[in-house]
Amino acid sequence: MTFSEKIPSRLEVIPQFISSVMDKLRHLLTEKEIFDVKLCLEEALVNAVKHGNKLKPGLFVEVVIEVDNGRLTLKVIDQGEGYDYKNIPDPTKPDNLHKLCGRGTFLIKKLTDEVEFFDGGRGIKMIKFLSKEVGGEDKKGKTQ
Amino acid sequence: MKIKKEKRNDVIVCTLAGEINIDTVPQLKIVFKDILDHKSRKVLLNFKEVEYIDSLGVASLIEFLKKMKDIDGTVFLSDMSPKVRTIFGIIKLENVFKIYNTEEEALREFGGY
Repeated sequence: MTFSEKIPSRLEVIPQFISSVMDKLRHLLTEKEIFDVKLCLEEALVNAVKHGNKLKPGLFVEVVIEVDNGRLTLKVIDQGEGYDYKNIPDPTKPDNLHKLCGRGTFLIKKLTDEVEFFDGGRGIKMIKFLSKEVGGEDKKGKTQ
Repeated sequence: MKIKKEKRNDVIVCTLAGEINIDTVPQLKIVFKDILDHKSRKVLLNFKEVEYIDSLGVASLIEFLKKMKDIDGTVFLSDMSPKVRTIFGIIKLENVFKIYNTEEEALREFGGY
């Protein structure tokens, strides 16, 4: 399954968009994966809309989602000036613990199996290996 | 998101239900502002029915804690689901907030009983 969509650079459209995406993916995911995927997609979209496109009207964020061979790939691509993904501060360092931002990408890295930035940081590719077989059984034979 | 606010002795207990996310943070901030305006100094946020929290939700809690500390107040949390607690663990918020397993446990230490 592959699908892609574009959303405008407005934060208020993100919850409804995520809800529609999760409706398409829910049957493929365990409860924990639903939580993780939803959170990662939301963090990536907020970063793309707010920090990438800087909320500029006329700029879009493209989302490409692919499910293949037990692997979910989510790509979020903005039209901004890029992102210095090589120097992301660690939000768990004592000096950063009380800061109000800087946790989104860290959470994405912790909750997905692979993360890759591309096109100068305008794009992020997140991969999650799925534990549930289509049909409702996970790979250990338990229904989630 | 549903927010129920009640007073137990000198502790304001907010029982939160639903998702704390980009959509609901403004609603939460209104409640926090009201608490700050009334100069309440002890606040317990009960997470029993919180299903989800994102980094914007986390930021709103940290901002509230900072403002409470400015008036010599404090914020305690309780009753987190394993999924939400995992998020707090990943970003080490257990070093920022005091988190109790239950509301009763928090209130015993906090002076709500």
